[in-house]
Amino acid sequence: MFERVIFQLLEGTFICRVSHPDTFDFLCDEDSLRSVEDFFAKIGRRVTKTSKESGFYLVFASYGEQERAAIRSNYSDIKNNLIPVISFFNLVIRTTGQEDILMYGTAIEADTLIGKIDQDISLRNELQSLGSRFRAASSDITQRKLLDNIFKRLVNDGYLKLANPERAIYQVTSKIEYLLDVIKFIHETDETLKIGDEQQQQENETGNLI
Amino acid sequence: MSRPLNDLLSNALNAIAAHRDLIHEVYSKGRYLKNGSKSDRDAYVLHQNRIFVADGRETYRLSSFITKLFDEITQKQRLFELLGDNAGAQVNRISQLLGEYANAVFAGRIEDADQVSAHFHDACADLSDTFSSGISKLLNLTETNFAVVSSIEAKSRQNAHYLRQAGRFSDALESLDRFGIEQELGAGHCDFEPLAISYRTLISDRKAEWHTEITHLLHFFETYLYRLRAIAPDVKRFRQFANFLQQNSGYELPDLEETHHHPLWMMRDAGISPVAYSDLRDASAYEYLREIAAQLPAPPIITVRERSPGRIERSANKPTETLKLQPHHVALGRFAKAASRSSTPLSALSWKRQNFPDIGVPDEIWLLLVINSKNSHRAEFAGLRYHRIERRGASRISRNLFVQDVMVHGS
Repeated sequence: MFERVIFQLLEGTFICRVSHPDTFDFLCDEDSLRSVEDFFAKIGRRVTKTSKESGFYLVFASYGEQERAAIRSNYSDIKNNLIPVISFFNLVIRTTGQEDILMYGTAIEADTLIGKIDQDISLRNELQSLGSRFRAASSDITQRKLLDNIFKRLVNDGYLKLANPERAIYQVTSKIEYLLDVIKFIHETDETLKIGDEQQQQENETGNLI
Repeated sequence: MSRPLNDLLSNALNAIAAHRDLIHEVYSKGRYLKNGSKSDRDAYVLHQNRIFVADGRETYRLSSFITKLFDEITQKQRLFELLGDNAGAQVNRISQLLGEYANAVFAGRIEDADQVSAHFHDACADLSDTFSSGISKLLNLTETNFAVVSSIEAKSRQNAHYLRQAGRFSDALESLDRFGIEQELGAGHCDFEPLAISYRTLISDRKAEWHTEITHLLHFFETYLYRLRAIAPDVKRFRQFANFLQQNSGYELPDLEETHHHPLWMMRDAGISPVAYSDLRDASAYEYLREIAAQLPAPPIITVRERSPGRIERSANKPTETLKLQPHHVALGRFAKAASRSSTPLSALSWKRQNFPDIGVPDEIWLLLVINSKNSHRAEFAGLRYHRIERRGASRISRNLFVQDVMVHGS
């Protein structure tokens, strides 16, 4: 088990009860966690938990010259992939109304989702544009196939786990908490968003006055 | 004069059976509005039997008892249901009935005692039912995460309410112990035997199970409430950001890697794919590697055809010819060489088992390949002599010949 945990963490996997129940239980044991941490301390890394403590992942122990390149590359990936992922979860919230989709462990039923999207032209358009963002769309692809492709991509990226292949039920993994952390940081540091918020607030206040 | 009880009951059951479609419709829609059709008469009949309740002059709705029963059957979730509120009062009732029974017995009122005993049984059944159905509904809520509402705030409110309901069940269980009903039933002040049986089968035997389930429920609701409250600001921020992205489709994330503050998420190691090679000096791994090698397809052999001087290359697109040798081709070639060098006839099967045991070709197929090689025009098979070792089928009338082995040797 120790070996499996080490390799999963080295591969950049988020380990939670949804995605890797066995290795998650192993890491929940204090002695096992200590042995894993001792190993990673020797190679300048440490194991940490997601903000809501539902999953484990690997971080650099310090911010030196060597780590800087890796961090820059990681952030570049985030820049390229974050917006499509946010758009997907926003589409699910808009379609089902379920805000708890952003909580780790929540289930998404692909059949229910596509059933609701099919009934609303704006949601269908949104799915189509999302497909382009994920580079999952083609001219003759059906809506269902497009959604399946997006799900597949999110499973590969570690945000979802296919919990029931027969009924096409997916479960949100702890990586969602990483995504929320990134959004929080961007929200707090990017001045553009603050201006956007102020504008929104002004519009709301004007709306209230009217 | 009131009609006999059985008549009332059978009328009500007949009315339910005869108008089940209407009842189904009213349960689904919530009410029935008079519309001058034949259904008005059916609704009136149901009202007479107290299945429907008049809800103003023009509307009927389903009796709350029946609605509750249907909710129970369909596990329908409603907002802020009162599941455990009644449990405490029901425990009090059991305790009071116990006292009443003792009084009747001490006073020698046997008929009264019998009646109280029957009511005690019903009270125990009611409490047992309240616990079972209430716990079942709460467990259903934990599985569906309050699916009847969608926003995080609404889910938090539902969760807080049902946490209180689970607490009521827990209090009721505690008060069962506090009243000491079990001890009183076992104390032997009077003949509590009929009551003790009811209490034991309906309540005592199930208390441990209820206690476990309620503890689980309390833990779930507390944890889930904590999670909901923790995630609420994140959800709000997420939706704001998603809306911003919808309105500003050209937005790009800022360059943040040069910032002095490095949050934990930024320090993530995105991972590597570790690769390891076999140590070919390690003899113990040899067998294992050989098995793997036998299963690998043979690499393509590329032969470049030299263009002879003075000739025009006609197939310019195909300068090379690719030949793929399968492992059994290689084995067959080697067998032919071994047979031609051998002074005595060589058994095809023994040779294969000795030299290529993991080739992935069954013995029967191998023999077939060896027999067919006789007709091939490959140089290594030319001049070989084949002798088939055959046997006839076991049956007396069988005309089948089975080749058991092929002996091959050079001429």
